[in-house]
Amino acid sequence: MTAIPDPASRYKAFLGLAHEAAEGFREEEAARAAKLGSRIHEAGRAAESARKSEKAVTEEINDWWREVHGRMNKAKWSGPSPRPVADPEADPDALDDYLADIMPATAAFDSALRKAIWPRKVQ
Amino acid sequence: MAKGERKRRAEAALAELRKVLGLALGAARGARERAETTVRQLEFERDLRVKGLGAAAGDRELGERMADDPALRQVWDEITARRDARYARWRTDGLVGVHRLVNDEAPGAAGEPWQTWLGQAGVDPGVVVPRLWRIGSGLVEQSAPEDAFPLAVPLLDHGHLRVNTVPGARPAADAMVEALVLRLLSAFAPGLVRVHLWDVGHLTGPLPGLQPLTTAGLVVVHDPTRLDDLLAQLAGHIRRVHAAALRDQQSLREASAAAGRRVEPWRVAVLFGNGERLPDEQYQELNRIARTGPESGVHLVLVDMPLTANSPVETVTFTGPEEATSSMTGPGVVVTPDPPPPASLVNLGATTIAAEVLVRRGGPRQFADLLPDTLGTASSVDELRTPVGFHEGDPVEVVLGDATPHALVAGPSGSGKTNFLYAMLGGLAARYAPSELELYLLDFKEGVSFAGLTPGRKDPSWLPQARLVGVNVNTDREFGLALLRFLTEELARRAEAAKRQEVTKLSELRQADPGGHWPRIVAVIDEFQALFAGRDQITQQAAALLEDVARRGRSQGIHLVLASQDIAGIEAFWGKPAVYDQCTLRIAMPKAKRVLVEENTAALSLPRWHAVVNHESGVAHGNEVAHVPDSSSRGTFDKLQRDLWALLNSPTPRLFDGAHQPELAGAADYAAPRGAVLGQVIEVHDRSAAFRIEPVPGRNLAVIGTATKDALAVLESAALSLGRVYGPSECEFQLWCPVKALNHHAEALATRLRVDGHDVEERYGEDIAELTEPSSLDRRRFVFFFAVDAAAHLLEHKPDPFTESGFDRLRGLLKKGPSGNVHTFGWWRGMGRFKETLGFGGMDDIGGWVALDVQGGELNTLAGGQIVDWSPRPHRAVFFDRTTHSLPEVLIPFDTTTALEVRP
Repeated sequence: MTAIPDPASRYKAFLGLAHEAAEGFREEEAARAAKLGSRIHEAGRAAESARKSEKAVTEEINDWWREVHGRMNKAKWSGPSPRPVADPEADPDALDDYLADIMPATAAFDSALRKAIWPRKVQ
Repeated sequence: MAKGERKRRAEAALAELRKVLGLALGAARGARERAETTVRQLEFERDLRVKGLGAAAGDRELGERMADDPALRQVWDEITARRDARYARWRTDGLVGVHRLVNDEAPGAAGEPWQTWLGQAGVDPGVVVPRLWRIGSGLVEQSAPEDAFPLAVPLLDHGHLRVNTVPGARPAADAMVEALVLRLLSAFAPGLVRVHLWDVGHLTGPLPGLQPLTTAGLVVVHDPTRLDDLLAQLAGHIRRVHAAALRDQQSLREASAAAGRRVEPWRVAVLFGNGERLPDEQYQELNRIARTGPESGVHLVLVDMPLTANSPVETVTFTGPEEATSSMTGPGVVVTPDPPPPASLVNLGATTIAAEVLVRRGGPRQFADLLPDTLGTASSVDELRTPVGFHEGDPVEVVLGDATPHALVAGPSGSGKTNFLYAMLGGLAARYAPSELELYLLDFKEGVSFAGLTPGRKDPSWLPQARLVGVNVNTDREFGLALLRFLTEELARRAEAAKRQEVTKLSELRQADPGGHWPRIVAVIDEFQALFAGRDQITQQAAALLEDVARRGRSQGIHLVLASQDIAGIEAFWGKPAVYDQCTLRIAMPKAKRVLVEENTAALSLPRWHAVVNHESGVAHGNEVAHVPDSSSRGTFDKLQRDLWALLNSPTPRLFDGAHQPELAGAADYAAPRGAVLGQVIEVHDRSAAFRIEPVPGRNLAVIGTATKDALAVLESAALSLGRVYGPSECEFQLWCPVKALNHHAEALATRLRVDGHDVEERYGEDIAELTEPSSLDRRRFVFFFAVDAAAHLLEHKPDPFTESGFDRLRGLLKKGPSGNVHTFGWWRGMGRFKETLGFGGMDDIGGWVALDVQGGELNTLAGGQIVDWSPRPHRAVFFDRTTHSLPEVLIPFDTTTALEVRP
């Protein structure tokens, strides 16, 4: 028959659950902490890359838009057309898809514009 | 297609293109923002880790950042979610279990909030002891405040508590300790927990809120410079409890369970140090107490007092003014002391408990409190044990037994020594019947009067256990010697009986011989140093006998209680270490010196009516301070004596009073004399010196000295006792007295003898010189010749040179008389006259002599050339019978007044 531990031992045994949890949590967090530095570094690089990418995309789209806008302005009936603004609903992961959509959209626009100003030749 | 329609389509295509471009711009921005958020989150997580999750929870700046940035909040939430997942079992099982455990094991004042118990005196008798005592709360790091759990520690009967502080934490530590002490005091009936406070830095003691308890003795504040005394007191208590456990073969807990109440209060010593280790000796003693104390109900609460780890100690270590860690909870748990009760309530609670104690005690302890419920029912098989006083309401006992066979009591005049002895004798007499205890009480210097223990004119009662009471023995050191001799004879008798039964100790002898009369004997000798007062044979013999009794008395149940008024009593032991060492029970009255060991100064600060009772040969750890109740006033000991006298049958004790001459009529040997009774011998038993009468040469007796009253007493005693030994038909008396002034004495004696039917011839003139002839009959003739020297002129007379003088014929009477049944009892008032009477070679005809005021040196020739150690003193004589004595013996001439009375 096993003797019932005294209350102090039982108290400490209960606290053992806390220590066990603390130990597990500490180990888990320590593992995360160990990787945190490299993750911050990588994230920093990714952010830098994203900033550059955004800048490049913005510049390119601005240029693109300026050209498109210039063609549009050749039509005498065209009114003011605002610059495209970043759509907050855009999915960052779909950037390439969006970029890929630009050419067809531009082609569609050019075709529609040509037809609209026909027979005047669109340059 | 109409031109308008074509324009609209162109504009729609532009809008579509703008949308695509917007999406691309948004995606690029979103990607950038997402990357930057990730960086922020990771940096925030890093900051959290640097701060620590627990600290971060309360960090304001981090909180604001989280409030401003949901992404950061998300990081926090993720971490705490992971944590909560880890701690899920602790919360469901551990936290609940701890609450339940403390609830069960720390009931009432041990664990509940002070609002439920403070201010009420406990009623628990202390048999069931809470196993845990709440001192605060704990919180696992990073837990929510609602997850706090009670912090409780084991204490009474199990361990100690150590508290370490940091600067600024002392107030919180004090409050925590005070609350704990209040819990202890309130959990049980008042008096079951005694607290000792010591603070190295405070003269007035720590924990001022508990001060009201000092009046009831529940809290004792110790001098900061006297930690030694406190530690010795605690160590002594542990030893006593341990010894009692061994004796009773049950632990203190078991004894309490059997009694249905705590039989020995817990002692909780709260010591406030300064963080430095104590000096080596104190440190070791403290550790010994820590290791062995809990079993004996001695517990330590140490604040900033280092202690080794090998004792049952739980620790609370403050890390800040209000925060601590604890050995009960381990790391990662923040401990916070419970908020202290308001000071006014603490004071009120302490006052309530103190008042309750005083009410329960019913005022100061009295002599009656020393007595048992039923008188004379205890057994002395193993020891004699009685309370003699009280300490903080608890009885303090003296024990005479194997470990403490003999006692030494010292105290200057007026210190209460008499009162103590009466308390002790009263306690013993009330417990042990005469079959269990016999008392032999001797007072050398009128310091203690034991006369009241014998029947008196006003009070016919006596103390049933008293067998001998000697008072006013001032000069009769022989009486002390006689007592010691008696005790050694009794020792021998007991040793012989033990040998027959093949045992060694009194307790074994009593088991082997249940029908025998083997009481323990206690011999109290007050001012015992008087025994060693001279450089003489008495001192030598007394020293040898005392050592013998001291050495062997223990195993045979013979105990000495040696009392002394001054330092001389202790100095008397110089050269006799055996006696001093055997007196392991030491009683020091206030201001008593040297009875305790040199460095034990407890007696110096004792108040009046107190005594230090020490069963450890006077070493400090054996000190027990007792208030000794008044035991000598009317209505105390005398009442007990009357009660015992009425209850217990016992023979009348022998009273030896050195200030009073014993009466011949009352002497045992006068009632049935075996010869010529001369005086009382200084002995334990009532015995008289008797001169044997036989029809052989030399059976004459000389009384020498000028002490008329004593000389007459010796002659009268001899004549009257001979008148009892021999009937009128067996003897006749001749009384010769040439001194007119003494004639009436001879006449009175003659009258008394005639009343008994004896033939008496009186001669007061010249007819003395006729002397007498040897008796030819069987009838003996006793000649009592008063003041022989005064008849010189009659005896010198020589009618002519060729006839014998009276002296010649007197010598002839002495020479030939005894063998012819004529025995002469002559009194010479000087040694020179005596020798002159006997002449050359006449000494052989004096078989015995009684010398009164004669120097011992003059008697050497009468005692076979031995040195007679005798200095004359009033009403004392020295008797030597050449046929029976090796040395002369001291005797006390009787008061013959009553014996001479002629009743109508």
